[in-house]
Amino acid sequence: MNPTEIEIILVEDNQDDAALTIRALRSKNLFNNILHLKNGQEALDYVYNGTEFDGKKFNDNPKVVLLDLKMPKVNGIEVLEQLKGNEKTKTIPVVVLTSSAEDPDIKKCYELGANSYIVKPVGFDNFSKTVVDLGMYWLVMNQPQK
Amino acid sequence: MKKRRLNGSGNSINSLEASDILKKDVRVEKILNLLLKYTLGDYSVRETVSEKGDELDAIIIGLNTLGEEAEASGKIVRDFESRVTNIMSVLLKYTLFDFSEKVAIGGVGDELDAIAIGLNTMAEELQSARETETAHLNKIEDTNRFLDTILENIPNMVFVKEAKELRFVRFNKAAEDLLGYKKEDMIGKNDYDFFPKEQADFFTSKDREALSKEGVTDITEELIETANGPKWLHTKKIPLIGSDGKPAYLLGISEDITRRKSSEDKIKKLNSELQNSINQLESTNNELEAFTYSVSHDLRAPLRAIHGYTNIIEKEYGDKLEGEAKKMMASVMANAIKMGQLIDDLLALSRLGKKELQKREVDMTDMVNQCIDELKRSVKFPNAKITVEPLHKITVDPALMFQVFFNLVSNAVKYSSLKEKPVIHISSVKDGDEVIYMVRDNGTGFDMRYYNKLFGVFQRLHDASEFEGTGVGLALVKRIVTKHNGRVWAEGEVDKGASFYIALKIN
Repeated sequence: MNPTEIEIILVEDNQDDAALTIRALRSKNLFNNILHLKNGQEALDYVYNGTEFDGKKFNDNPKVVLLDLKMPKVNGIEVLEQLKGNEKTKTIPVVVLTSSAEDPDIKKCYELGANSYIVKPVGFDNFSKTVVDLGMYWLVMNQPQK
Repeated sequence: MKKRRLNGSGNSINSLEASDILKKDVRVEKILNLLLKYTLGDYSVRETVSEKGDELDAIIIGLNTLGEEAEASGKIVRDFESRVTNIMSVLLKYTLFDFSEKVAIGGVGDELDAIAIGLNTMAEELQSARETETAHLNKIEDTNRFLDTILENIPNMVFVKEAKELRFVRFNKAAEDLLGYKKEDMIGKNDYDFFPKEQADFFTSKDREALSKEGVTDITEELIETANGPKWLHTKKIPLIGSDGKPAYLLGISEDITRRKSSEDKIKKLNSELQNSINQLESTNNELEAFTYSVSHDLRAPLRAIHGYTNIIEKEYGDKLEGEAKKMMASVMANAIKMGQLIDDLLALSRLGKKELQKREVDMTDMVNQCIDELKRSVKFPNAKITVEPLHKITVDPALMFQVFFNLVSNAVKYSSLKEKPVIHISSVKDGDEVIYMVRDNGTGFDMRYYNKLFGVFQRLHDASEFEGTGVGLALVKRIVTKHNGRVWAEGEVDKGASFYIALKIN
């Protein structure tokens, strides 16, 4: 495995959530190859238009995309729709992150092919644990489709 | 004078001799008298014959016979005339349909008698035919009167038009009242004589349509400009088939639906106003929903940041902090968690509004026991004595009703936790078409003075330092029960405990 290859793409507009998520993942020293994209448009540019972020180009097999739903410009639903509707990217696991279990888009996400759906807990302990479990599952336990 | 004339006309040669003879016999005078009468057409006179039997007597006999014969033939003529007169006068009466008199039969057996018999027979036959006809006409008249009475008293407008030119032939009282035109004015006229062309065109087209098919042509709404202003009618048109099998008349029955129509219009208007209000309400609701979602979503993110960073500070820089600072850090995090809980509770409450009830029959004893099991897992459970009587089954939304009992039992546990021996009792009783469920505790109770705040959102009757809570639990209970068309109430006394009651309809 190329050590610089991006394994986790985090699409999140909230800087604090992003920082806490990245911190939680890195705390285990397991997941260092994380790319943070600040909104849906960046995600689409990165995946489909060859745009570089942090000097990184999109490769075909990130282990997981952590996708926030509520974002300015292009929202999570639209990104999900593109990822799952494209031959090239539809096998990439997408975990939807949201602030609320009341999200009316939950059903829509599953219909569009989201692999998982996570409500970000308020408490950092829970939040941290959730993020780490998530990373652990998709990066270590899950056998990606060849 | 007779003498003179006889003398005057007598033969002058024999006049002396003849006058002598005549003077000698009175019979001569009688003969002359007879002759005179006969020449005047009076044949009724006869002369007596003497016993002499001479020529003079022979003449008298001859004259008498002549007179008799003449008299007889005159009578025949007179009889004939009077019989003809009789026939004529009776015949005249017959022509005036007076069959009361019969022609007298002469008894002669001649042609006149034959005519008279014929006439009498004919009169009898005519008389009987006329009686039959009269009876028939009376019957028709009766029927007509019968139908007219019905027609006139039908409260709906009834009219009949002939099929050819659609002119009115019948028109009842209700029609007069409705249209404001007199029967006499309508009969013989058609729609174009009374109504605006556009309307008349419409009526006529419907008339033709009705005449072209069998059964009823139903015109549920038509506008008609009457002498009393515009009216709405519900009209049924029916073809009346003549003896030739073709429609001869058109029967129309109209109901005045003007009032109904105006009520309908009013209702429609009200409905559309109502619909507007509903739309507004819906859009407000949607906005509110979007707002609620947004609030829940956006309020949680900063809370995560607050809690997250505080947590990191505590973990990574904890050794540099004093005890007091650590305590405050813990307080910051506890408050963040509590606010998260508040948001979740509030959201649950608002979500309830739009949720459809999914009812089924529920074993309430089972449900309450599950509540207790769950409570034992989730909170620090004091050593309370909880007794559950067998509860009545009921048809409710199980998930929501679970929430109700979970809240009530956890309240009971919470508010009795400071007692030495907390006792909680759950029971139910059937009352008419309701089941009343009771959750009773011997805890800290509440002051009935504040009862009106008990089920309010964010209303709390106890200090947060004493009992934790967001003030949403009972509000949620009330909303769920109300949504089930049930009732909820409570009784309490400070330090003596509280009882909560839920009355639910049995289906």
